[in-house]
Parts: sequence; structure tokens; C-alpha cells
Amino acid sequence: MILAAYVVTGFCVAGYYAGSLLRSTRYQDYKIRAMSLGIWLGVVCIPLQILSGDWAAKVVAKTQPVKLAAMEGLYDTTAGRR
Amino acid sequence: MAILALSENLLPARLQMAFTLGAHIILACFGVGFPVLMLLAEWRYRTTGEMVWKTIAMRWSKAFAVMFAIGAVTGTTLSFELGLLWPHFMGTFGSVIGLAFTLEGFAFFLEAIFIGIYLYGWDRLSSRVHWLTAFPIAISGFASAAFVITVNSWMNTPQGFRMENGRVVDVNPGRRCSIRPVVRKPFI
Repeated sequence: MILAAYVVTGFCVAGYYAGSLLRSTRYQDYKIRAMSLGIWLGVVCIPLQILSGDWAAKVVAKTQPVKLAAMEGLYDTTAGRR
Repeated sequence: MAILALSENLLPARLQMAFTLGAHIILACFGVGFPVLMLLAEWRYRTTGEMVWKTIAMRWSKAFAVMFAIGAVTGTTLSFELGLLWPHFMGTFGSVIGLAFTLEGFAFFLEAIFIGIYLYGWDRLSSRVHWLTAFPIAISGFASAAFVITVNSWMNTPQGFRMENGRVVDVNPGRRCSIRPVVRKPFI
């Protein structure tokens, strides 16, 4: 969740400045730097987020299998269940 | 009859809670992430000495202040809703989840104090001290999120207490926070 917050903020900021660069190249220095910092934060956190998401989903599968099934949209019992 | 009344109110209560949470979580995400960006931008300003980094950090601190304010308002609404919409749950289990919420409150106060110092200290504090005031903001943003997720993971897999005659006894919040894997994991 916390990593997700960092990713969201990083990419939202980057996206905002990318859009603003496309509209006009005034204050290019400022916009490029702000965008790059946002991208860096997102890029650093994304791999960790992938690991953490995998980890969290496995915990949910173990502790609350029914909830995981609901998240995946599996409303009927399928083959391979545990 | 009581059950009927309960189920009539259940859906509106859930909808209201979902709406407020949905509004709050967006702002809360930025509240956790923006301090880190400000901190990095100001660190770049201090190492490179380029004014453009200071401009970036100042702009972001303003955007962050607005989002923090709205986030605080929606967060207050949520804390009222916990008591107003789920009085039985809070009455019974308040003593179990209370600790995490209290700590979250302290983290929030710390964040609010240092945001004040950060916003009004731009040219009044030395650049090093000003940069250092960004750390408590980022850390307590992290901590607030962590404590709230602790509450949420407790709701998913309640542990660390015993029920006796419908009352909660033998509350052990430490066990709830540290030992169970389901807390540590979604946490990050």
C-alpha cells in the first residue's frame, strides 16, 4: 500500500509534467526535472511493488481463500483449488 | 424486527463508508508520496544549488498542503463514520483496534506540525534545518499509512484477543501487530 502510494504519486507527477511539456516548451528545464524526479520515484518502487503484491496475494490465498477467489471473479469452484 | 432495521441501514452505511474511503484513499496516497518527492527535490537543490529544484520543491509543498488539508477533512469524516455507522463494532472491538488508531492520530499530528514548519520556514530556517523538517513529514506519512493498514489487516484476520460472554478480554495488540504475517505483508 505504501509502495503503491509512492508509485501513484511518482507517475501522476510525471504524467502531469509530461502533459504540460507537450502543451508548451516554456520552462522546459523546470518541467523536465520535475518529471524525471517523479519517474525515478515510480521506477524505483515498481519492482518492489511487484514483489510485495505477489507476497500479499499469497498471504490472502492462505488466510482468506474465498476473498482471493472473489477478487479473481471466480464465483464457482474450479479445478485446481486447494 | 431489530434485524430488519439493521439490514435496512446496512447498505446505505456501507455506501457512505465506501464513498468516503474512496475519496480519502486518493488524497492519502498523495499525502504519503508527496513528502518523499519534496524531500528529494530539496536534496537536489542542496547538492546542485540550482534554483529550479527549489522552485519545484516549493510548488510541490503548496500542492501537498492543499491535498493534506482535504485529506485531513475526509479522514476526520471517516473517524466519525466509524463511530456513527458501526457503533456496535467499535463498541465491542474498539479496545482492540484503538491502539493502532491512537498511534495513527499521533503520526498525523506530527505530520501536521512539521508541515506547518516546512511551509512557513522556507526562507526563515537555514537550508539544512529546513530540509531536515521534511523527514518527519515523510516518516509520519509512512507511519500513518502503516497503522491504518494494521487496523485493516486486523479486520481481515482478527487475532490477539479472546471473547468471554460477548466481551473482549485479554487484548494483546503487540501480538496482533508483529507476529501475524498478514499484517506485515500487505503493509508494504
